[in-house]
Amino acid sequence: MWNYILKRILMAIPTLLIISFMIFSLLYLTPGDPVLLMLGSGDTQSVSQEQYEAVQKELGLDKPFLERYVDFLLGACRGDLGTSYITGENVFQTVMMRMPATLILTVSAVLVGILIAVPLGILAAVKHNSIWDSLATFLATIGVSLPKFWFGLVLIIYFSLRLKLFPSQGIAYIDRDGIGAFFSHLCLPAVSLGLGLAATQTRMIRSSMLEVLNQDYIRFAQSKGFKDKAVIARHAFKNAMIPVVTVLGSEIGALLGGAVVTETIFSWPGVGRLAMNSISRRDYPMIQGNTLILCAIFLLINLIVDIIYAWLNPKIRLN
Amino acid sequence: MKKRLFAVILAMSCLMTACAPKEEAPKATQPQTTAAEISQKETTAEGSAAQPAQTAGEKVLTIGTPYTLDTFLPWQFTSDGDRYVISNIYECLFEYDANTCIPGLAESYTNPDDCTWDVKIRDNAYWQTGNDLFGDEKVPVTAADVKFVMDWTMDPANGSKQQTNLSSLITSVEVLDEHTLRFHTEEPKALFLFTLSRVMIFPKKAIDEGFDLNAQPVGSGAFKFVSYQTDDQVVLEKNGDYYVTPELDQVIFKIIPDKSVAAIALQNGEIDITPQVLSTDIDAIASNDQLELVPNTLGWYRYAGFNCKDELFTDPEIRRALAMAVDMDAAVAATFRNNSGTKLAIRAYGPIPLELPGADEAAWKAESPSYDPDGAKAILESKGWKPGSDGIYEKDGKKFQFILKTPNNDNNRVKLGTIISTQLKQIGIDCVAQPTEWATLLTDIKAGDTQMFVMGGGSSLNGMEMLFHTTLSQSNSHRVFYDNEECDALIEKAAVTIDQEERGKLLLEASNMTIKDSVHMFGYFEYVQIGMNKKVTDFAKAPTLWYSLCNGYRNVGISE
Repeated sequence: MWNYILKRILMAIPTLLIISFMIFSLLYLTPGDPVLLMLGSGDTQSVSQEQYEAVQKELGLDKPFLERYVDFLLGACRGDLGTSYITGENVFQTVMMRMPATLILTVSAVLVGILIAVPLGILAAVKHNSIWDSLATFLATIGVSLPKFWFGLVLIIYFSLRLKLFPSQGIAYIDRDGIGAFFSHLCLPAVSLGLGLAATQTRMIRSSMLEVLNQDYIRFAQSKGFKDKAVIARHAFKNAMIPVVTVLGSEIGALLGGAVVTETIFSWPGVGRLAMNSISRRDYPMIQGNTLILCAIFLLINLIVDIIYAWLNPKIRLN
Repeated sequence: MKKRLFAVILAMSCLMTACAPKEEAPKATQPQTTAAEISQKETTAEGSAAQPAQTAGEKVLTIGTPYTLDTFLPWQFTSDGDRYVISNIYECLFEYDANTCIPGLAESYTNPDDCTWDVKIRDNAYWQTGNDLFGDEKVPVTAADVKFVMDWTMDPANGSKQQTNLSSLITSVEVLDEHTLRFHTEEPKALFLFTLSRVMIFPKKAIDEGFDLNAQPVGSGAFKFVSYQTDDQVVLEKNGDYYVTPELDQVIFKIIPDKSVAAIALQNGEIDITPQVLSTDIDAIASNDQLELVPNTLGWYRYAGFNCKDELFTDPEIRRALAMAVDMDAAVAATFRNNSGTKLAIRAYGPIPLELPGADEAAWKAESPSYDPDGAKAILESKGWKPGSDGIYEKDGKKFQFILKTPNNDNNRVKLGTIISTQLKQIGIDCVAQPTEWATLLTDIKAGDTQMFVMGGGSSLNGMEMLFHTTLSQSNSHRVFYDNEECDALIEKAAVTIDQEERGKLLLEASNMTIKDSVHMFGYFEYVQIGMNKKVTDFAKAPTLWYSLCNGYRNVGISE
């Protein structure tokens, strides 16, 4: 197994190289001038041509594409992802500083998603073609279709503005605000993010369970007189989890970097908001570093998913 | 299975606990040359908890700001969001609210001659105490400190964002006595005080000792820095040594990027002020008994600019014809309609906000083309344009078609663009409104890669320079390639005319030229509404977060 893990880590290097080149090229081709944005030359501020050129040189934006890319690559190999154009902060530190908030939100959203999806998916599969199945499928379709920004705002309007149950925005820290405030601030963003995941997972679990429930070994177990609950829990559910875990792995990866809308709406100080802010201001080092770190995490999650496969189904050999 | 489930839950709990941010000691002795230390996110001032517990009876004002904080360095900031916060920690010599000059660190000034300014600073100004830089020692702010900041800012090696502005303003600074400075300028400078209102005064000792002002800002303002938590909130507390005792014990800036959510937070009582209420939230706030809307001090100018170098728009008559084809009164009314009757914008007939010198609505109206679609068609036809088979004007086989770019981050400007394009289509001009991402739009405008664009700005005392001057507008987002030496000369003359009345006349004359040449399709002055809890006192007097909440002019408080 260790050989397998080492092999996967080595395979990640060319993947990250290709990704870094793609990010760099796309940013190079994207219109928008980081110098203008850095100098605040928007609606209200004026800059001289000399000041513009000085900043352009300082940021290295006057260098040719390949030279800039090689500089970035060499820096990344040394563990230096550069400094932000806008704030002058170290990129790695900045991303890592926001990662805990994103991890908290992601883990909570996954918990919400699993707690809803597992019972609903199993119910839909076991009560196939019943009203329960239709209801679960209907809810899952709704959940997948709802735009996150809209759903987030609806949650805020009803549960915060009207019912006054939760705060509308922001994060709370246990040491600063107490555990009650921590969970009350977490609740709406986690539900907003988790319901989309629950919808996808419900559909996955349902179809996977349906397939497994029709297998011979399930019928064999039933014919031996095992109770339905025992058959589902001990034999069907674990085997049905393989495709579910695959999708869950991808979803967690996507949530880590893609909770942009949720983090923005709920004023959650995470990596997604940082990415959004960096993109709108063409903070190239921050976008590159952020994306590269998230890609590395994504690859790591995929590796973990592969290892979980083997645990779920020993027939799958990692080597 | 149960054991595994328990193990998973335990692991997640550990992860969440581990992820919770920890307090970090302030980085008091780090080099100050970069902004990197702001990344020590739970930065706190000495002796303070991350957020001090609010005790009963304390007056705390919570402001929801939509901007992420980039820096606490007083010479590095460019965004409004940074200014909102650090203007409470640092002082400028003077502050400006629209056209009103408000004393800051300076208490008075005199002009021995047009190129000399003697500025007297308060003798009761002190650097803030309770930090790693000054400890508990009460150190006065002196003229030598101010001179140091001016010289330091003008040195390009220090990378101050105000370097260009200040270097083009003053030639040298002298210390006359402990509290008086003499500034020399090469020529008379009409915007001398205004330019100084952008330079914040910081302690020389911080630079000498390599103290990191980004991690622990120390100024002479009414509020002291307490803590900053990444993208979450900044906490300030009152400076007891300030010459005016602040009404507020604490000010909290909460970062809420979504303005709709900020409006909800205001209605919920989670914040007391939100600086920009969206038009979609106006009615909800106006109808709430606990809240009120306060318009910004001056109307922000918004316009549709022609690229005067584009072959379609080189002729001022053609530009005028297009302006005549658009019913701007109706467009502005449609864009800003609301049930509460709140004044969100007024029609602009010229480019200078009505609160600033040079604005004269009546004079502009006399020069402005009126809405006259038939007259517009007549002008186009007199210039050789003929309606084609599809109703679109053509000339030499080329259709009159172009793209009108609008910034996609401002719904009002997008709406204006859509209305303009619709009305131009009605007279036979194929105009397509294209919402464009902000950064892309700025680059396109600077590069001249636009035909027509909706933009806003120039709503300050140097607005005419930014909007129309041939060379001064080159590097900004208002580049219309208007090349009029006479107009340039008037703007330049206004810049060296200290007499405000005379200066106003020059700017009016220049603005009339731009109207006559139809450089812009003049849109509207937008009065951005600040949503505020009625408990907040003394804020409406000068409704802006651009300068300190407490100074000699106002002292914002909150009633029980």
